[in-house]
This record gives sequence, structure tokens and C-alpha cells, in this order.
Amino acid sequence: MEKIGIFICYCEFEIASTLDLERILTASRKMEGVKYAGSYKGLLDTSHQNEIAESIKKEGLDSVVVASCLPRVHQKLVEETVEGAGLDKRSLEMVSIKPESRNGKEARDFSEDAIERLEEAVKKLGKRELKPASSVPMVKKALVIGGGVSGIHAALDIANGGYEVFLVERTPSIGGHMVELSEVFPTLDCPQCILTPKMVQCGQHPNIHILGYSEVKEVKGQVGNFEVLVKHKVTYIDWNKCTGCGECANVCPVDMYSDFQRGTAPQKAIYKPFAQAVPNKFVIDKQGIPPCRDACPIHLNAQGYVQLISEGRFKDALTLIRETLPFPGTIGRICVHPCETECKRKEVDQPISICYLKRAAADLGEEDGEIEPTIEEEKDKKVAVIGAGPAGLLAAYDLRRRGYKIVIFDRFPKAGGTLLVGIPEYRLPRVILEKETERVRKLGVEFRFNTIVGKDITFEQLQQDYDAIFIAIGAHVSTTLNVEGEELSGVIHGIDFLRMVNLGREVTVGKKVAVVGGGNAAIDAARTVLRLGAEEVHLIYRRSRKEMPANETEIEEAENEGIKLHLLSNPVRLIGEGGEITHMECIQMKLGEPDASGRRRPIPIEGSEFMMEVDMVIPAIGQSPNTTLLGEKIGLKVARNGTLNVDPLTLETGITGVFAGGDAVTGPASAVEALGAGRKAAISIDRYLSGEDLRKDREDEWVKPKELAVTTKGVEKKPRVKMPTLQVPERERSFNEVDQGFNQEEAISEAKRCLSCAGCCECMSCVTACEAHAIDHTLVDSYETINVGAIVVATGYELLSKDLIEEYERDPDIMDPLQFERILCPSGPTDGVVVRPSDGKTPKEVVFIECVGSRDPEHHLPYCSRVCCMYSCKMGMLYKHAVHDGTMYIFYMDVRTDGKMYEEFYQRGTEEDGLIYIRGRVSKVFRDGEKIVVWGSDTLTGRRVEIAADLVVLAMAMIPRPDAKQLAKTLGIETDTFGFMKVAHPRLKPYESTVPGIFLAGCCESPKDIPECVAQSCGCAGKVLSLFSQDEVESFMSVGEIVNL
Amino acid sequence: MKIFYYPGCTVKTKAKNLEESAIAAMKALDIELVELPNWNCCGTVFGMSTDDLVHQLAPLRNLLRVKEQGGDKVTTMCSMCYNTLKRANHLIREDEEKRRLIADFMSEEAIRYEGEVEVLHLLEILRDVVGFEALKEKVKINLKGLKLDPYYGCMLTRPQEIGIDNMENPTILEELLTALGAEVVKDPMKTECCGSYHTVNAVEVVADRGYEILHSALKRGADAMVLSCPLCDYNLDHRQREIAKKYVDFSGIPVFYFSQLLALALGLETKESRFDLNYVDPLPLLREKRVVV
Repeated sequence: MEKIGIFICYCEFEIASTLDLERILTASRKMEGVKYAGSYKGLLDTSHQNEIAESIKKEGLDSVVVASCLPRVHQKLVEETVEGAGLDKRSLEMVSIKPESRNGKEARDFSEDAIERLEEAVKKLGKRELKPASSVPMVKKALVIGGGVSGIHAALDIANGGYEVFLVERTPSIGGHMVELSEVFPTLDCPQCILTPKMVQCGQHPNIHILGYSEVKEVKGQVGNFEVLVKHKVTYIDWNKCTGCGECANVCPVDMYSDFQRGTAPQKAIYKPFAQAVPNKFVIDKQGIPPCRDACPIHLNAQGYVQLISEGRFKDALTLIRETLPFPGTIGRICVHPCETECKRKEVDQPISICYLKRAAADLGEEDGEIEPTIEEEKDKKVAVIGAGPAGLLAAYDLRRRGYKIVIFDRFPKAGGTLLVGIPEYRLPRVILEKETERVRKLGVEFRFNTIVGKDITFEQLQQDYDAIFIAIGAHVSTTLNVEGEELSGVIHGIDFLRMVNLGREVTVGKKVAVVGGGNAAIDAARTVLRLGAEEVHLIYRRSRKEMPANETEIEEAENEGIKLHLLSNPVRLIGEGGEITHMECIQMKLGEPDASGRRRPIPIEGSEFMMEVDMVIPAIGQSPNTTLLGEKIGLKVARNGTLNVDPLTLETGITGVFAGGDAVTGPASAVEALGAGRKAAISIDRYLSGEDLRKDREDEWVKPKELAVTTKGVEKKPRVKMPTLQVPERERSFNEVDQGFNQEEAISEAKRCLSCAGCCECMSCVTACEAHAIDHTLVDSYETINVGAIVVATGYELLSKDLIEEYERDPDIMDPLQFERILCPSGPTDGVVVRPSDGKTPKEVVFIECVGSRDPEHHLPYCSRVCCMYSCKMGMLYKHAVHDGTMYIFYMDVRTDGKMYEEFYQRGTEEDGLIYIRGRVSKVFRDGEKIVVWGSDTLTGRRVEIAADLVVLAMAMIPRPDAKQLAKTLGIETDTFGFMKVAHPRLKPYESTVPGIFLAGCCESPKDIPECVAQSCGCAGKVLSLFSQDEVESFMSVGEIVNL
Repeated sequence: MKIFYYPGCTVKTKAKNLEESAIAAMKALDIELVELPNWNCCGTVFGMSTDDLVHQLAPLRNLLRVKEQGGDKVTTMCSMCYNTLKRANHLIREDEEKRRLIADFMSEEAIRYEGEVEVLHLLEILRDVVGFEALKEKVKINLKGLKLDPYYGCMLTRPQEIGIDNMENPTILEELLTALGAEVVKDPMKTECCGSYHTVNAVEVVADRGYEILHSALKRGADAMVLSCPLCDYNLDHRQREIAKKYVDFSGIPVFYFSQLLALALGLETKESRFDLNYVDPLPLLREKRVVV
């Protein structure tokens, strides 16, 4: 375009006073392509309308730039003028030259800005190529985003106008904040009563499709034809089958924070937000995998059984555990519980006693008639398992359930491995171990005890007779001290000592015994030798207490029993007389830099040797597997530390069909890790025997779950329930179990401390309870693309968080208004009985504080939230109707009651219901015993006011929803600095957003009350209906080209 | 590490227990507080009038001394000194004209000062340079068993632009005391005025304020108060005599400077904490709680 005309509209106020028009015009005339430039006072009044048209004709202009103060408002008018003069309206560029802010800048600068903008517009026109104008057919369907009172009304009006409407709602039910309220002003109607009929209408209307529990993810296109990607968040429930009966929620053990109840009452992990929900369907709130379950080597559903126990459902808890672990009584007594190390509760006080609770389920959940685990169809393949420890037992158990024939060989007389010969009876009663290992035999697994493979039967024989072999021989060779005198009589290694004791053999015990080592085996040996009659037991460990690998509780109990710890000490040599040990020489150590294990290296302190008088020394400093018979001799690779080499993904050894796992591979580790290995081996062996690929998808067996956001702030501290133990004198010399186990009350109390990290814990109780078989925990999110011609945004509001107001304490009796609404609401969690959250007592003195966060430009938000003055008056009245002898104080700055009947409402509140209004602000709110103290001022008397209230309600500022900015970005519409969506013009275009075809209704645009929301949404509906009266819409598509300079 | 240290007058006279315990404690943390040579009065309340620039000379001259010595940081443990130094610094950093005027006025000095020095309160050094996690590792005598009520007063956190922590709900002392192993009492009076300079000519006011603050602490189960400002200390510790005269039910409560407890926790000898200069003798409490033998 080469004949550009520039027309500047001005008036004295806006433009002429701050711009140097002459300069601008002069500069304009010099711009390339500009044929004409002129300024007109009041150009865009009708009197000057013709100026542009006439100039176009006179000067032969082919394109036009019009500069004004409000180009958006003027655009349509000028377009018509330009078209009237015979030009395509796209030959027009509107420019704003109104100075944005005056802040000490000189007029010279504004004029420069104006010139710059005109230059840009001229350049744009210069490059513009006009393609033939196109239009798109109008898709006469609408999208309403948000199902609150605004969205519902917009949807109904558009639907009643004859068009299809998609109503997308983020939560499971439409209704929004309005259904949370108790009564609405100024009529004191029940909001549920007036809104639910409309909600039902929406649900039943043939033109309305409610897309519940869904979100808008992407929007493309333009007015007339928007392409919208909607995400249907997974509910884990088939809504076609769900009847909304609620049987599932009755059995769900997980209590979670309820958005609807706002903390005044919990909701279950499977829930329907409120009774009159539309759609009348349930959803499951599942956040992911909790850290406890992730940390467990067998991924036992810890949160699941803990939550079931919190409801006293010990049998259900036990059933859940047994799905994964057949040995809860055993493992619940001796596990090293990596789950507890990751438990989020530790950020509050201490982790949940997950291990003890597992034991509680086993102790208390047992009922007559155990449920037998299922076995798949019998297969004719046989598997040999060498070692009846945890790895071997679980591998056998899993494989037997798959139908294979299993024989377990073990050198000891009974099953258990280290559980049998290592762990002392006072930690793990043999009767429990026997009962649980018996389960494996009952499945049909054959045990051959007292059999050493490689001696009583050759390995080659096994390879002949069996289709696969799993080696799980543990680590039963004790590491030597490598000091002089180790061969003296009276020196017996820890695990050998424990084995003899546990197998019932005679052992001579000294009077002054020294145990060397800091792991569980050393502690086991120390506490055992004490029970067998030692007078003094000393534990020597070369690092400090912090580095001791043993369980903390074990170390504590050892100390309680009188065992003396000698930390940072190490034996140097053993001294004897006549072949019998008499002394042990030790040296003091200090800690240096960390070594390969990550622990600080112990360094002997020169000259610090000391003597200990001993008659028995028990080294327990390490263990390794016995690979003399099953090692290199049979062709297996053995590592330098004595362990067997395997493929970490599949547990295959170098020999086909031979697998290995547990301590034999890892070196001495924990029972639960061995269980993990057993389970892994079973999967490998199953695949091997079925001819399947061993490696495929094995890495995905357990995908590390994403970190869960868990609120630990504000959780009241409550320490772990102490495990009742046998008192020390009673323990003397006996092998009776020291830990007594929780009783029902203790277990339930401990389990209630769980924070429900993952939300739904997948205990599957709901699946069993649902008679419609609608629940499916494997479902995932789904997506849908819809085409619409217009969009109405009605996403509503949120309240500013109380946490931001530091001068008011965090306290359950200091609430926000929506919480108080739930308490006042007759269908709320307290049935409308006004009680305060902390102690359930009736509050007799209530203080309401206005403008918290609003009208506060210095610290929070500068604007007024519109509705608080009215709702506080309303809540005051409802409170007085419920508590006749109560007093409500309202601290205010102004009382803004400007709507129809609002002033009368407020007068009623003060005169009839006796609400006490105090004009002044509140500087501090804090708890003092049973009362909440409020420090405010009364500006009308000029005095300080101090009120000891029972309950305080803060009128928090109304803010846009936290995801509003993101949604605005998705839609391409503008928001203001606070996130409220901006209308195209505050006076003349109160429904349109800054993008054609997208309309704004309700509080997402600005704070307002319900009558205004309805008015605005019906207005938007009207706009949509009028839009749909066109069959075509001009295409706004302009194609941008990126030019690399 | 060495850092310049501005003492101010009070720690050299009425608050020796604050200075000596602080210097000793920081030394145990390998931080040497080097007293600023040729320091002068910080300006105290006179610096609060921002339109009268001459009152900003006193604090700024001190900062000039730091720069002169080649330092870019200075620390202090007195809340008032911290406040005046930092506020004066902030004023000239924000306002070019005032900066120029004042620097020109002090032209007889060898160098020009234009806001280059950073003012840090000792608590900030503990929080940001040493770090409370690292401090935990260095604790030799755990303050477990002591229930402490931290008191902030006003100068440390107001105005917000120069405050070391949130003015409505500061937590820096709580974090420090928790790192030292003590239990911290939650007390809404921690930011309420101690009576300040009314101690000079209207002691009644201080007695009332002190009673409200200390009574709140006692009510909430505190064993002792912990604070950082010498004026607050004077009003809440030494003035307990006046409080007891007016309020017969007032039983008294020991008041510590945070540095005294820090020195104790780091394993220094008891005498380094200068408990002898506290008005209410804290040793019986410390012995009872086995913090001191």
C-alpha cells in the first residue's frame, strides 16, 4: 500500500495537552508511503466523520491510519467509514497515541512515542498484502467454562435459545461456591433450594452436555470456529454405570481435605462433593504412589493397610497385606522399614510406625479360616530353590501360585534362613515364624531340610531333575577380625554363635563378654549372650553411634538391658593364656574423611591403646556367602567380596536356567530386600519357563513415582505411640518376646497419624462394595476435541489465603467466610448448629473483620471485594438466629450496601438482630487459652478495643482462581494485574473479553454478588445468541512471517 | 573469616554481656569480629527524621570508616545501631540527591561514601553465613529442656525495607533457638513494644508493658525470655524490680541475650556468657535444666 493517509483525532484534554501535534504531523509526512497527514479536533464525532471519507477520495488514498485515544472503541465506526469510501476495511490501522502515564516525563517523549507508533502502523500497511476476504461458517455451539451460578445461567439461556452447549466444570459437580453458602442476601433464600433446580435442568436439558471433572487445555481458532481440547480427568469410575449410591464411600478408609467443606469436615478419597451433585456421580482422588510404598522393596501397600487399621479394620488390613506378603507377622517384627525413612510424617514429628502396624494387623486381624491364596493351573515344570530364607520362600510362594512344582532345599532343620538361625527368639518368636512359613508348605511346596546341595545332592543332579534353579543361600560366613589371637578358645563369631543358640545347641558363655561390631547381628549376639548368663557385655564399635548400621530401637534396648557401648574403639589383638582368651587390646579411633561406603573412615589414635579383661569375644563385623560348594566350582562367577554375580535386571547367573538373589548376591542386607529379590526371581523364572523374553519391560516393573505434594505445615504434633515392651527386669535371662505389640486402641491411634499422602490408597474396598461394578483403578485421563462458535468464561473466584495475613494467627477458630457458611448451613457438616471447630462449643462472642486483604494497597490488594459487607451482615443475622444470646461484633471501614434492598437489610441487621458495628481496623488476632483475642480500634470514640472472642471470621479478599491466568493464556484473553479477566471496555463492552467470541461472566471478571453474576451471564448468553444469528463470520486470520535478518 | 564489627555505646557499658558473649561465640564459629577503628555514635533516634539530613551523618560516617578500612560489610548486635546504620544506608542508596549532598558534606574525609557497605545484624550472619543447619552440628551442649520465649522488640524488623525478618511474625530467633536444641514457646507478644525510652521518664509505662509481655510468656509456659536489643533487655530484665513493685503476682523470669545462649551451646565456659551481668540470675534455671553443671 503506497498511498497512506494519517488522521489524528484530538481534543484538548486527552491528546492536545500532552502531545506536540505539529511535530507529529511533520514527522508523519516524511514517512515512506504517507501521502497525507492531518489532525482534527473531535474527528470521531459525527461532524467530522466525512473528513476521512472525503480525504480518501480527494487524495486517492489506498490505506488509512487513524490515531485516537481509544482505538478499540472507535474501530468499528472507522471501519464502516473506510468501507463507505470504497476501501477494504483491512486497509485500516488504528493506533493509540494516548500517553500511558505522565510520571514526570516531558511532552517531547510522548510525542516521540506517538511518532514511533505511527511509524509502526505505516510500516505494517506498507507490507500488507490483501488476500481476498474469507469467512468461516459459524459453528452454532457454545462452550461454557465453569459450572457455577454464572455458568449455569449462561448455559441454560443459550440452550433454551435452541443451541447446543458444552458445560465444562473442573470439579465433579456443577454448582460452584453458591451451593456452599448457608443463605443468600438480601432475601435469605437457601441457595441450594434456588440453584439445584437449575442444576437439574442443566443435567436434563437435551441441549446441554455437562463435561464434569474436566478442564480446557488448548484453544485454537477464532470466533465462529474454536477448536477446544478438553481433558477429562480420570475419575476411576465409569459414570455410565455409577448410580451415585455412596456404598463405596462408606467403606473408604481415607479421610481427605474437602474443597467443598473447606476444612470443616473431611471427605473420603472416593467422594461426591455434596448430596445434590449434578452429575450425581462419584470420583476417586488419587494423587499417585505414596513414598512408603515406593521405598518398600516389594512395594507393599503401606498406606492401604495403615488407613484400614485407622478404622479398626484389622482383618481387611491383613487381607490387603497378604496379597503381597505372606509373612506379615515375621516381617512386622524384624523389618528395617525403609518405608518409615521416607514417611512424610517425619517432617511433622516422627514417621508412622508402619512396621509395628503390620505386626498389629497380623496379631489382631487373624480370624479362623484363613483365605487360601489362589493357584493358577498346574504346570508340569519343576523349580529347585536352594535356601529357605526370605528370598527362597517368596520365590517359591510366587512360583507355586503360578502353578509350578517347587522343591526347597535347605541345610537347616527348619525354614527361615537367617530368620531362623540369625534373629534371636526375643525378637521373632519361633512359633510365629513356623506358622507363616507353614503357609508356603500348605500351598504345595515341598521342603527338603538338612540337605546341603553340593554335598548331600549334587548341583548337576539338580540341573538334571529341575527345569530352573534359584540359589538363595544367604551370607552365613562371618568376616574375621584379622588380628593376632583370633584362634584362641573363647572367640566365637557372631552368626555362628547365634546359629548354635537358635538351633538349640549347647554354648559356653563367658562372664565378661566383648562383642565387636555395630550392625543388627552384633546387637543380636550381645543381647543373646546376656540372656545366656554373661555378667558384663561390652559392645565395641569403631565408628560413632550415628554410623552404627543397627536399628536405633535395637541399640536403645541393648543399652536399657545394660550392655555397655564402647564407641570409636577397635580391637588390635587378642591375648590369651593357655589357649584361653583373657584380654582384648583395643585402640581409640577418630573419624576422618568418608570412605567408599560414604561413612567417615575410622583412624586409630596413636598411643591410645587400652586393655579389656574378657573371657569371651564375639566378632560380628560382617558376613559373606559360603560359595565353596556353590560358586566357581559349579561355574558361577563370584565377586571379590564373595558374593555371586548376577544380571541386576533379571537375576540370571551366567548359567542358563540358574538364578540367584538375596544376601548371596548383595552381601548381608535386609529380609525385605531379600523378599524383593525372591519376587523378582519368580518373575524371571516364570518367563524363562514360558519361553518369554526375560528383559522386556523389566525396567518398567516399578516406575519411580512423581513426588507428591503433601501438606505437613500446620499438622498438630502427636508423637508415635510407644511400643509396649517387657520391662528390663522381666527380660532377664529369658527369650520371651520383648516387644509386646500394639493392642487395638494403640494401633488405631498410631494409624490415625497417617497423612494419607497419596489420597486413595488402592485398598480396593470400594471395588468390592460397588454393586454396579463401576470402579476401575486402571483408568487414565482422556481427551476430547470439541468445535464451538463462542465461549463463555465463568470460572468464578477464590478467597485470598489467611496464611498471607501474618498478624492474624493460624488457628481453627479463626476462619474464612466460606468455612463459616458451611457451619451456618443447615445441610452442612454440623446441620446448622453453630459450634466452633476447636472444641465443638457454642461461640457466644463472634468477631467479624472486614476488608482483610482488600483495600490494602501497601501489603495486599487495593480493590474492594464488593460482597463482604453484605455477607457479613447476613452471617451476623444467621448467627443471631441460631445463637440467640450470642453477640456479633463487626469491625468495618465503611459499610457498602448499595444494591436493591441492601440498605434495608443492613438496617435490619443492626436494629432487629443487634449486630454491633465498630468502625476501626484490627491489628492483631491471637489465641489466649480458650479465647481468641482481637485488638482493634474504634475510630468513632478514638479508643482501643480489645475483644476476647470465641470465634473470629475474616472477610478475605475475593481473588481470581489460581488457574485463571493460565486459562486466560490458553484462551488468549487479557487479564488485569490481579488475574481478573479483562473486558473489552469497562463501560460499553462489559461482556466481551479482548478476544472476539469469548465472553466473560461472573466473578472471574471482577468481584460481584449473585444477582450481578446472573445478569452478566444472561447478558453473555444474549451476546452468544445474537452471534449465532449469523451464519458466517469473517475470518480474522492473518498470517505472520518470521524473517531472519 | 573476619568481619568488621560496629559496637555502639550500649554494648560497651550497660550491655557488656551481649558484646562479650557474642564475640566469644562468633570466635568459636571461626568468625572474628574486628572492632571498627574510630567509630562514633550511631545517631540513635535522631536519625529517624529523614528530612533533616545532618542527623544521617553519624551513621553514615561509621559506614564510611568501614569502607576506609577496606571492608564491604559491617555487623552489629545492637538492634538500634543496626536500624540506624541500615536505614541511613538505605536512604542514600535510594535517593541520588541525598547521597550526593551528604557525601559532599563529608568532603573532609579521605574517601567518599556512596552506599557500598552492607549492614548485617549478627543474627543475619548466623542465619545466612553460618547457616542454622551447620550451626546444629556445632552444638556441644544441647539446650534441650529449656522452654524459651523469643522477643523481638521493634528495631530489628521495622521498617520492613530494612527488617531482617517478617515484621508481623518474625521467626529468626525461633529458628536459632531450635537449632540449639531448645523448645520454643509461641507468644503473640513477641513484637509488642517494651516501653522503649519511656524508661527514662515514665517508668510506669515500662512496668505495664513489661508485665504484659513477661506475664504472657510465663502464662505460656516459658522458662526464660531471649532477646537481642539492649533497651528491651533493660526494660524487660532490669526493670523487673519496678514490675514486681507494681504487680504483686509477678514472680520474675530470667532474660537472656541470644548470644549468651549461643556461647553456652557452643560449649564455651559459663563465664564467657557473662551471666553475672544479668539482673535476674539465670544460673539456677540453667542448673535445674542441666545445661550448666
